[in-house]
Amino acid sequence: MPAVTGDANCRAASAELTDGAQIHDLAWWKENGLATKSFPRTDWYLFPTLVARGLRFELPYQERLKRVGAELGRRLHEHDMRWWDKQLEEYQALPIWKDFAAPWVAAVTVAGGQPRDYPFWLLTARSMQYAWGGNVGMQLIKEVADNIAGHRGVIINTRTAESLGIGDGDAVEIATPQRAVRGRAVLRQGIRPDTLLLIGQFDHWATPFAKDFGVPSLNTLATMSLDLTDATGSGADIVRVKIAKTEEKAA
Amino acid sequence: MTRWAMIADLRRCVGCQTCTAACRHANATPPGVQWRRVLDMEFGEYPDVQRAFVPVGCQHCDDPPCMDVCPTKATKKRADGIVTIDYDLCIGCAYCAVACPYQARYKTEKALFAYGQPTVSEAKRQDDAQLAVATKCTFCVERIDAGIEKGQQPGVDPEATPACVNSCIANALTFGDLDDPHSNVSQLLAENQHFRMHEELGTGPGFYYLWDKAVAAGSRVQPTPTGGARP
Repeated sequence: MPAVTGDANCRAASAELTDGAQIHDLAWWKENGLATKSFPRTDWYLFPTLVARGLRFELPYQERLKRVGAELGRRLHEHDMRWWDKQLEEYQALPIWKDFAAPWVAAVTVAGGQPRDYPFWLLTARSMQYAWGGNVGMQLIKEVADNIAGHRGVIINTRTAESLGIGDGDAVEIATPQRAVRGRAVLRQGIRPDTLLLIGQFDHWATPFAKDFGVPSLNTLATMSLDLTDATGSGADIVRVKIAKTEEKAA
Repeated sequence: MTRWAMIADLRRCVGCQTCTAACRHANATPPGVQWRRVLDMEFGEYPDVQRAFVPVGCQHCDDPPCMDVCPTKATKKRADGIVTIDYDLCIGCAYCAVACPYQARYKTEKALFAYGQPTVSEAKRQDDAQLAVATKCTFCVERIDAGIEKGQQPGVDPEATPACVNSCIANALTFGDLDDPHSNVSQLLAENQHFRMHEELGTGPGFYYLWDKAVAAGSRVQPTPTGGARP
């Protein structure tokens, strides 16, 4: 930093900190190193108490999360509310490894299916072209979005599709034990063999133009379930599904 | 002399389609007619796979095959390298669309609108001269010519630069004069490895693709995405 600029910065900073009472130049700071100003004890918050009792600050995520979970659990149990107990277990300081897939696989059984019959992870993704969907009624946006793979159907790994007899553009049915949607297969290399991707969530759109897209949505297949709801009150957009080629007219 | 050319940096293009939308707006082309398109391509097989977004369109060739097959001389090449179509001379035979190895040409038989009936804007901008004739990317030649008349520099001054280049959010597209060794495009070609599409056909495209930094003299020869090799 040039000396002239440094000198100006020193003067400005010291003036600001003292409301103009003290204006120190670079030479002053070089000689003194630091300056102090009074800070009311009432502004110290809990620090004096922490020092007096020999305490330290709690770790923001680890300890605070565990404490909040314990506090929340006590408040709920005081009112005999037990339906959040499973989620309360997630308020952990240092979570151990857990089987993330298990809740979704178990959900298949709860829905009356056999997990082995629903081997795919169906995911969704935001579309760069549609962003939050406010432009979904514009023909130009659909036209350019369709240039990007996946906007016309469900993305499936090429080799997986071949093993199922599904070709690019074929009509397919994606199903859970409870529901099914139909669309067209988009074969790509850049996706895991056990994963399917449906971009966008437009099958419930009722406004002109967008209501006629004819592209299936993960939302239709996803189940609202407390078992799949995490401690944040949210859940991942994941569904265990099966996929098969279907008759052409149905797409 | 001047040789207008475009460069697409494949390391920078994110496939957002803004250039395609900007081109359609600037040139009022009908639905589905994308003079500037961006392909969504994959290379390799899972799990060793790469994705590339590749802007395409008329390559404004040195030796354009579309011009040679035109029975009415509607397609011409200007001294500055821009390939043009005279809609008054074009009879819509589409020989050029077949001859073009870049699939850059379109032909629209009847007026098309985004929602069936024309919007106010579409009605105002509808150009019947572009019906039943060949159309393609013009490098926004009207902007270039008007800009030069005003003393502006195409590729530098936005008003004189193709709409797709102006709109690019990633600075992936560059336009400039190849004959000027100090121009933006000449500098980019000097500093980077590049290729042109279907170089083997001898069309001499005025559209270059950058894909990596230049290799220092004496370094190992690296393969290009098209299978050829460049030092």
